[in-house]
Amino acid sequence: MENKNFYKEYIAPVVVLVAICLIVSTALAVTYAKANPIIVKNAKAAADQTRQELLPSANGFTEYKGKLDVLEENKVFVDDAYTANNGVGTVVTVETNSFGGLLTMMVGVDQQGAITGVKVTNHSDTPGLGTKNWNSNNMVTTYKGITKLNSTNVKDGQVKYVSGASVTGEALHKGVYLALEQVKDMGGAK
Amino acid sequence: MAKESRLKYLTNGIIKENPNLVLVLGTCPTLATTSSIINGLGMGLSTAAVLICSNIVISAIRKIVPDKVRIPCYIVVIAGFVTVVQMIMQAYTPALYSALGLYIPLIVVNCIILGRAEMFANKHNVIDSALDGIGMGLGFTLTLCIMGAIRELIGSGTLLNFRVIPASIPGMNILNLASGGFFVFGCVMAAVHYFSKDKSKIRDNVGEADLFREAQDLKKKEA
Repeated sequence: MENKNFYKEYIAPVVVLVAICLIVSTALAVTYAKANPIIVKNAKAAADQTRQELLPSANGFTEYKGKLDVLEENKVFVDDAYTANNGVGTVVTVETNSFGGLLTMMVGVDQQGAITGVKVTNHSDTPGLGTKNWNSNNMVTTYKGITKLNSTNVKDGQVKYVSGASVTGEALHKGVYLALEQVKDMGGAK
Repeated sequence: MAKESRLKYLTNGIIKENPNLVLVLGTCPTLATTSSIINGLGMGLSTAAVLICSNIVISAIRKIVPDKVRIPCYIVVIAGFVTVVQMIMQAYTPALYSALGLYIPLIVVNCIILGRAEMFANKHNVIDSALDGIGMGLGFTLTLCIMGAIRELIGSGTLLNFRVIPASIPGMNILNLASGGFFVFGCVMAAVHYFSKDKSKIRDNVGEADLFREAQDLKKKEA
């Protein structure tokens, strides 16, 4: 009788919980195996489309295999860089530390080293607050045409409309700064 | 009788026990994702899918789950379904996934799902629980769509991204923000309560008020 109570009291809850966890984990593994290839394919297609949007005259891109810049370890760093096959410019993908964690952005730079566009492709920031920085035209288009940022400090007043009041604005500014540095290190846009 | 009560389980969640407007559960995603109809519909359907599946599974395992660990077991089941829905959305509807993004994982802690698991699926059989999940899911989706339509129309002048109000008339931007969401939520809730409440009771209340006023008038006259 005591053994039965002991089983009911201590063993059964553990066994049931572990069994449910194992079944759920298996179901997740199966779904992941099916969905992940499609997710990776979608992400690659979306990245290619964004590169084309940032450099519309490019006729394809080749990945840069050299050294990628890091501004702050694990916080602000270049993820990849692609040069246009016809030499019209470079698109740099930067990961930058924002309010909700790492924010992924792409920066297009043309032959003259001027920014052609900035686009945020992934983020975990509060929608409607920090995201105003890239939903509002002024914020992102304000970087267009700039060839050099004086510093990583967004409050130095070089860029109009970006005040640095939100963490996202600061993160975007650092990302753009690092992208320009990367293009410079690659020998300038070709 | 059984058929009638099953129909009741299905229809209860739509108006009478609407999870949002009557039970006032799941308010956070309601306010956050109803800036447009599409977002509301996406959030409503994904929550409904998780709700139906979790209700079925929780009802099926209710007899083997010891009472002590029932809440962790429910959370594991619900989190599992949410992750599955998240991966499917990311793979097949990437645009909707990026629009809802942050709010999808939050379905795990949605009070409606855990609430129905504890209040209903825990005590009823699989079919009844599935019907309750469908009804509650429909009620939640309907509320989100109505709120999304109102906010999108007045806030941006569009419906399903088609312009309805001419661009020359600026939208009321506040409706795109959380404060506007609260306002619309209150209005929709008041409307549902007005139309679904027993009117005879309202008349009774008015009658009592009238009696009170008459008594006050009499007192004044006597004075």
